[in-house]
Amino acid sequence: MRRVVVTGMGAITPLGMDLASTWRALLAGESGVGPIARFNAQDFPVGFAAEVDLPDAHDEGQLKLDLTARALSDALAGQGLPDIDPRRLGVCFGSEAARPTLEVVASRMRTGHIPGAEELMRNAPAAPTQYVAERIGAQGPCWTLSTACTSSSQAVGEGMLHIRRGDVDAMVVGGVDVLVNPVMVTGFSLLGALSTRNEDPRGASRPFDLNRDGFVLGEGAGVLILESLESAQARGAEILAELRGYGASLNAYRITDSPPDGRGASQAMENALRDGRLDASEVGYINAHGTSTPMNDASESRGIQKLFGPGTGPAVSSTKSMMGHLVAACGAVEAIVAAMATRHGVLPPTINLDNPDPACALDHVAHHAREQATRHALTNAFGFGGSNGSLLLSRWEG
Amino acid sequence: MSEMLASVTGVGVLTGLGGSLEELQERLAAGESALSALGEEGWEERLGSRVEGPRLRELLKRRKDAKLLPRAAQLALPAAAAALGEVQDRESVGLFVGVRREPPDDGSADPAIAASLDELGHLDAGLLARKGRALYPPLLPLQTLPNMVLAHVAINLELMGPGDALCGAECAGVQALRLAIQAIAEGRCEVALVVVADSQIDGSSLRDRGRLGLDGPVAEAAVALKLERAGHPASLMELRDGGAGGQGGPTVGACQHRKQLGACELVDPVLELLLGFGHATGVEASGAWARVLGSEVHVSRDL
Repeated sequence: MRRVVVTGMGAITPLGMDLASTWRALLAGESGVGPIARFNAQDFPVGFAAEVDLPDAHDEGQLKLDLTARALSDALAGQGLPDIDPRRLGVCFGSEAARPTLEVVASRMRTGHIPGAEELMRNAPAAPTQYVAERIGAQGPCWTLSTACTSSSQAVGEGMLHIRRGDVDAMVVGGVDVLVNPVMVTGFSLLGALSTRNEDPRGASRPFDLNRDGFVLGEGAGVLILESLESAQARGAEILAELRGYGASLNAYRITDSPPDGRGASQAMENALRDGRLDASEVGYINAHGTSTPMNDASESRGIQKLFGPGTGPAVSSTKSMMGHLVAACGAVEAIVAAMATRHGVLPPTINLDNPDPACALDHVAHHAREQATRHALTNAFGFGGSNGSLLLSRWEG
Repeated sequence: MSEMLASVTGVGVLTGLGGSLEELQERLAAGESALSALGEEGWEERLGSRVEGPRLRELLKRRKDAKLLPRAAQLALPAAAAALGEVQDRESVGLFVGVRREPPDDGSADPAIAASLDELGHLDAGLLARKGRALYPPLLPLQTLPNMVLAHVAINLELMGPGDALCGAECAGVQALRLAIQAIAEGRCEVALVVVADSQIDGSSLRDRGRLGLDGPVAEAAVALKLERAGHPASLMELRDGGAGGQGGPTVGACQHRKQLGACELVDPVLELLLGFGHATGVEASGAWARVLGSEVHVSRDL
């Protein structure tokens, strides 16, 4: 079986305009949550989010491409891509459709004017994938996965499988999402999914805390350069981590609810471990999905407890406490965080975890980063609709 | 020639020419057309084929979920159920779905937007918060997520194996099929269900087709395939993986059935695979129509 390694990582998040600044902020326990700046949210039930600090970000489709471009540049900045046949280079990205701006919708209603095909194509789920493929000249597989919050976790996993199967020698994988707009704030508020802690935005995302009340909308992008071990060694690339396993599952439960017994979560993690031929006892850290919703965190905790046994599991943290929920981008960004944790031997914390929920009894990395040599880490992503993805990343030791 | 990797052991088809592959084949062969004027506002004369129904009541675990199902999921669920048939261990069945995005601008939020316009007709976020929000369809975000077909099929058929939703215009169906073939071949699941469903006959889709310069008759349809290990005793046809393919290849060529059903680009490649139009063996000619963005799947009818 071909081994798959990570030779490039890039991110743009509410905590930083690149991976280095994001990582520093994560270890410092900073929060990227604040009052919504993109539109006047004064009268909305939720007036805060975790936004990326980009000017002129009024067009969601264009913003997605901008975020993708920056994360890609960040990932390529270190070692670039292997010099290979473009047909042996592919792209796998997780994304959702961008929404037309409300001004566009209002204009259609007011004047009947409908924008041309360019606007439609820019907003398509596959637009970021196509952008990446064009920019790097990839002529291999070019796939877009769209499973809500699981999208980019599965994109990373499927990208790994492409290399492992021998379809390609390298893949650019990742995800992007932009949801801080009046429509999504309205829609998710009506579903009761968002925290309404308007008086304390920085304390709003509090995964596994007894007083959690919903997630915080975030936005961002993450990109990883994956290649076969042979390819990386042939060009003398520094290996940042090994992507060792991928597991997926379906809850078959409800559209917005997680099963209380955590079955889908534990199944995805178990599948990732089986895929990576690793025993659960060897996992030192889980970057949890940890959205800060009452149901997700309890369900995920149950799934972890089920797989690892009560009181014996690995260290767990949710970086959504600091950067909010990046939805389709969270899987890729959090896979990068897990890789960084194994590489640097330090685990980012769950901030705001003041009163751990007894139903979420885990070895939490609360408030402050923890120095801990960790060889193997799991990262979870669970989506609306019941899709689950887990990735297994390992420190490279040759 | 690459190795045979999976058997098709169940098929579900839902089109304007019937609710099974056999019925579709018979009616196509008889020269029957499902095309008629759609009568959609603004596109009254546009020809298309519509699926009547479908009946969902017996398929839903919770009947109140019916209002959550976007049209593509309404079409997908009966086709998926027909293809799956009786399966002992549904918890390990994989589900691989090809989807087009549901149109986010489908008009259902128009009343909320209308209430949020200022005197000059420009959108006012404050008005949206104070007035428009009360008119906003609360379930719209859930109805317009691209993975809702995957979700509703998984929930109602109780499938808990690995699952993915591919989203990429007309290539997504064949990509989903390829993922399923690989999942079977690699032992990720013993049974995999591939579901591809879409509707192009609503006003929003017709408007978007106009923006893309796509004219001609349109369709709505769903196709589902149950895959199991290659050489399965119940095999209806064998599939093999034709390789990863390349980006930018031609999409579907002239689909013969479009003359009688109309175009549904997402579903058409998989439907063509089943119908085998113009292919004596399916293998040699398959590349002409199954070569889509990033994926290629070959089929053999010579068992």
